[in-house]
Formats: sequence, C-alpha cells, structure tokens
Amino acid sequence: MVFENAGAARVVRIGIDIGDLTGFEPDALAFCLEALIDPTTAAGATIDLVRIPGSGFCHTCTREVALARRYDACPECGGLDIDLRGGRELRLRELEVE
Amino acid sequence: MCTTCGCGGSSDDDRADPGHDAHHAHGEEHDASHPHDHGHTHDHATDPDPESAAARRRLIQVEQDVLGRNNGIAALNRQDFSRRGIVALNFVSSPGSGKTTLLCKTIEALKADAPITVIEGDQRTSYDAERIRSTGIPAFQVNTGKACHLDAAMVRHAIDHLGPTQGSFLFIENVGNLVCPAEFDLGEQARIVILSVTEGDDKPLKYAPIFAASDVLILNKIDLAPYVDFDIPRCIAYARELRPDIEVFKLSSRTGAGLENWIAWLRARVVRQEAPATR
Repeated sequence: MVFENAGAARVVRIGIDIGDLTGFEPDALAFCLEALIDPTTAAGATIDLVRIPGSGFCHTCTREVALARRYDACPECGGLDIDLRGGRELRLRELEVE
Repeated sequence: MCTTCGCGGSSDDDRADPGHDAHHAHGEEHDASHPHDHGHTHDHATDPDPESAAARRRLIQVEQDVLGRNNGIAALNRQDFSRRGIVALNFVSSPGSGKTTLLCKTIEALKADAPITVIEGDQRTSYDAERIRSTGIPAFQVNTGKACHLDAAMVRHAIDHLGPTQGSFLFIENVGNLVCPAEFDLGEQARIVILSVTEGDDKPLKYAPIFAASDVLILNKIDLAPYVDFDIPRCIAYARELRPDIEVFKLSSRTGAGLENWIAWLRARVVRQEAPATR
C-alpha cells in the first residue's frame, strides 16, 4: 500500500529492524524473505536487517542494562526486576524504491 | 479456499484493515495492500536508462510493526470479548500435556454454570474438536496446515463460525508447541500454560517466553508425580522467576485431583465478567 501510494516501480532495498530478544532469527527471516519477494516488484532487493540489541531497565540498579536474552538476570546485580526496553522490535523500517 | 479451516474463505483477506470483520469478505482479495499484485507488469531488462532509475531512487519510511497486524486484530477480539462478557482463555502447552483431556473435564464441571464454546488448533485432523463435541459443546477446529500456532485472525474467523454468546466461556486450545504461540496475542483475557509432570521441571527456564507470558500455570498429571523425577516446588519457583504473579494449579485431569480449585478460579471469572456487562 505504502509502495503503490509512492508511485514507484521497484523496491531495491528493504530495511527491517529486528530485535535480538524477539522469537525471530535474522538469518531465517532473510532466507524466507528472499524467496517470498522473488515473484514481486521487490525481486532482488537488498534485505537490510538492522539488529537491535536487547536492553532493559533494572529497578534495583535504577538504570538501563544490556540483556543478551529475554528473562536473563541483570548483568550488574543479578536481579530479575527488569522492564524490557529494547530488542523486542520486528519492524519494517523503510523501503528504498525507484 | 480458506487456508485456516478449508471452509471456502481466505484467511488473509483482512490484511489491509484489522477492523475488517475477519475472513468472509472475498470480493477484495486483491486489495491495495496485497503484497504480490500479479497485474503489475514491469521489466528491469527493458528499462531504457538504468542510471535514471538509480536517480529516481528514494526512501519510503514505513515504520510498521510486523506483528502489529496481529496485535490490531487481537485488540479487536479483546474488545468484542469484553463487550459481550465472554471469558476467552488461550491454552498453550507442548503436545501431549493433556490440554484436550483437561478441557473435556473442565467442560463437564462447568457447563451447567455458563455456555461454553471451544476453538481447537492443530496442524492436522479434527480429532480434538470431535472429543470436545462429544461433551455436547460446540467446537470449531482450525487446521493451521504448516503453521505452528494460532494467530488473532484465525481466532476471529473461528468466532464468526461459533458465535459465542453473552457471558459465555471461549476456550482456545492452541497448537501444541511451547515456542511460537508465545509471540501471538489472540485477544484472550488470560493465557493458561499447561505443563505435565512427565515433561520435566526445568521447562519454564528452557521455554521462558511462554511461561513469562502466561497468567496461569497448570501442573497436570500430578498422579504420575511419584513415578517421575519432577520437583514441583522447583518448577513453580522457576515459573515465578519469570512471572512472579503466575497463578498455579496442581491437578490430574485423569483422577480429578485438584480440579476443583481450577474450576473455582474459572467460576470467579464469570462473576467478574458479568458485572461490567450489566451496567
């Protein structure tokens, strides 16, 4: 819909944000997407995956900490009182068209 | 044909507009948002001037959440359930944990209290829906084919078939899988994860997302606990690391032990649901 509103003929790059804490594997997503877009106006488009690292706000440390996996303990204090902040994204960020 | 249930509908025709009422409007199958518009003809090789094509390149900011469509439909389901006082519960577990047996026993205990309908999700067969129907309750089987989970649109479609009534229970039995169903909100009021003692007490830590996203943990087959190395307190402690307020029921669908607490929890939800519906 976005694409057709722009009056473009072809998609050359698909920009996707993918969080490290989602259930989606970047390699598997890219593999499937390449096959899916083959019969479309996005055939051959570059798949530009940007990984968003996991992060959360630790209420014990009262600051944002890096998280390698969901539901991991705080790397600073070992506590579990953490609100996820980043890494849950799966977002079609942008399309480069011509 | 509908890929969700084979009923002749299409399972993805509400892609453009989550407000569009589910699956049975097939006139607009090729709507503007259809990702592969076959009428579109273009040929890269005959482009007279590739340079100018490059010059025409521009960026469209989309910023669209991929799971947003599912979440949009789930929100509509939730609104419908709330407006009609329907208690919708999403049952998730690995295959063989005893979901269907638990539902059959639950239905027997609860059907005098409130109307009940059931959505059964499986990749293939309608065995489970038949088991539910044998209790005298309407059940709709969703065969997901290749998909390993139910999504909100499939549930919306099933609701159209089932037509759950005001103040009823809607039990949604998800596809047996401890991984993917965690990512898909169906619009339910509560998610119930069932773990049988034969599966191992470490499962909450191994499959953290689904336990973290569940409101209730049912430890099933506790009649078998003496024969397997399943540490019930340890399992509950693992689940509470992920979800401190998770409600836990220990029961055996086969013997009926512990079932009464679970049934009491369900009855309490009907009362809570009826209050806003009568305003």
